[in-house]
Amino acid sequence: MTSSTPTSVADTDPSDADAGPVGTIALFGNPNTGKTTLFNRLTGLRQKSANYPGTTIEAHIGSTTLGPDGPTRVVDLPGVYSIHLQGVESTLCRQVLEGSAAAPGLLAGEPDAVCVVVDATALREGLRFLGEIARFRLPIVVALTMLDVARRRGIEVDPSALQERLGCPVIGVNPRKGDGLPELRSALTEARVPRTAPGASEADVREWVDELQERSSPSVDLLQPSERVSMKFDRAFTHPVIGLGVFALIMTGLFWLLFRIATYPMDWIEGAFAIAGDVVGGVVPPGLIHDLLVGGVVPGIAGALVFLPQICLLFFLLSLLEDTGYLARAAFVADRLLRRFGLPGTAFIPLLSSHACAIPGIIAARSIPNRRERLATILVAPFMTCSARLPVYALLVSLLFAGRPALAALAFVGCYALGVVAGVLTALLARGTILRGPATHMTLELPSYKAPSVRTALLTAYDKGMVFLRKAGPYILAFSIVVWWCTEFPRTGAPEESQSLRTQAAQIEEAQPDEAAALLVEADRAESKHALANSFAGRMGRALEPVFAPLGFDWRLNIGVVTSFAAREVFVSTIAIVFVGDEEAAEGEGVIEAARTATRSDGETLVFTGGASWALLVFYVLAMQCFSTLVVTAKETGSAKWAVLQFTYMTAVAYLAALAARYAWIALS
Amino acid sequence: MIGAAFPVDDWQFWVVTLAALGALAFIVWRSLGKRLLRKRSKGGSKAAPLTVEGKPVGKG
Repeated sequence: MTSSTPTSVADTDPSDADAGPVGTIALFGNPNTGKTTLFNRLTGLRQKSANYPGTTIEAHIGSTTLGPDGPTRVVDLPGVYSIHLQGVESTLCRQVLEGSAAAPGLLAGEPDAVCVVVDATALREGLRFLGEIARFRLPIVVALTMLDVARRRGIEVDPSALQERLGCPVIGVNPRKGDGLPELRSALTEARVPRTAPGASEADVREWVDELQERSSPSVDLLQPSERVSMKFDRAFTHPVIGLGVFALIMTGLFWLLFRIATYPMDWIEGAFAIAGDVVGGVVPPGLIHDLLVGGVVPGIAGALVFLPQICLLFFLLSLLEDTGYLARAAFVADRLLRRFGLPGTAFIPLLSSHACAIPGIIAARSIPNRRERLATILVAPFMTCSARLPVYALLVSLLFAGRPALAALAFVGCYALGVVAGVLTALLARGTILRGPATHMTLELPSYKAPSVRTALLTAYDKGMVFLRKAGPYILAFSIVVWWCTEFPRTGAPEESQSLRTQAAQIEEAQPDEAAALLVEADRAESKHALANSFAGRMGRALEPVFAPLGFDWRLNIGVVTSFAAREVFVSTIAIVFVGDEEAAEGEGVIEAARTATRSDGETLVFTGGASWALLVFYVLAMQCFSTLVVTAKETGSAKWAVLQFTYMTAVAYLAALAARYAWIALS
Repeated sequence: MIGAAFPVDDWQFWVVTLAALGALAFIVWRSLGKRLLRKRSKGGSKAAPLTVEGKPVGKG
């Protein structure tokens, strides 16, 4: 009886090469053939199957017992359509076959046997791939998957006929159910070099594939009635014009659903944390700990959780869409557009995700096989308008277009468009300079249309939500605490204005208690403003005056820019504290009115002039004002230098664009 | 002066300052420290990229 012993490369001691598993079997196959599921079956390792072409970027290793000689090592290689493509995955596959690639701790060398997984529903592609591997003259076993699906489609494939012609074992398997596994294990000990292999020319390959297909699947009819309908849909969905229209319609619907539905749980979370803040404020006695909890910790946790519904919902909807088979068609359409800017069609999902939050977008860039294209996508993802920018847009657009809702809506759309344009132009620049390299032609098999799995979508949403919470949540909370401390210290005495107000309030307290109370509120606000101005954050705002003066920013706006580096939405609450002296005003119209009428130190010039407001809006569309995103960029690229480059470049672009916006406004007005 | 700017006599000041320093240390450690520690350790993750002549494939 055979058994499975999972091992991993990481815990494989170098000496293991001598004492451990005997022999190596390399698992090759096109994407979506069930290769990874077969690997899990053989080794007992649990690993996610690639639902999207190219997901299996890293090679995984396990061991399995095939016979009395002891365990055999099994290497799962990335799913590729050809080993002769330019991508990293294809190169890796080629090098493993040549014996020049090895896992850490293992000696490089040709595998003892190769298991080629061939999808019976895509026999031609599978045989073509098999032909490429057969040319290496290594012992091969062919694992034929999806035989049941092929049969349902009227495609009959005869493994024995294929085996007879090839001269190596061909075994029909069902990796999901485990059918055919004992036969495959047995066959792997008897792998043979195929007696036939195609020549190098395209004509030779075609002839070889035709002959094999004729022998093993003579009655194949690829155009079954269901597939004829499917092909009609494909023609529409991938059409240069209709496809683009459908794409725009579906994406608009997805965003509409996202913003429409996510609003409710976001409001619930905000409401719950407002109550939590009140409860904590009521329970903890007044003092600095009370202030930290109410002003730093509770908003910090809320700041991390409030975007969770959007992130989970986005991935839930995308998973449903992917399951239907449409997303592969959308990637095909997007590829036509993005390729012009040096990005692959697979960048479409990360860039789309970035409209909810750049963090899951950057994480989703893992699905891009080519490293340079992946880096370019990560670099430009934060240009997409994320939901954290929306409160800032809302404030500034309200200031610029008060009482003109149509223009305000247009400005909102313009902000989204500006982010996308800046992103794709940056990609073009990066791919032409620091990330120069050949464009990877996206090869993907359009999967069959099917009903989506809600369970899979829920699991995906949960998984992505947890990734966000684990990766970004602690940072947002920690940064909130640090920013709170910087806005709280050093403390200064009460300003003369507040002292005077308190004196007046004391004088009229008995005769006019209501007016006295109002004066005390005024005094509190004056003290808040004064304290913030003299805090570390305030001093930083003043220190940055020479930098932001060309953009028309007042030093108080600089405080907002500095504090919102933790999270962009912090800008609005900071503005509320600075101009109103009361953070609660941020929830209502108070902050907009206070900001609209706020004047500079001369007492006449408005803080939010048209030029300054436009500059600020453009700055927030383009600037890299998110510490958490920078951390994720550093983690995903494996180097802090990309995060530094992203921050420097985006800040420079934002600054120059804001400067241009201000002077354009001045010139036009 | 320092007492007014930083209420050092208030024990709560030290609690919130320690919390802020802890938060800052956490940010620095999670951003840099973990990577340094990982370089020193010999194992950890289950999946590892293959190498060609000792260099990781995928950096090209």
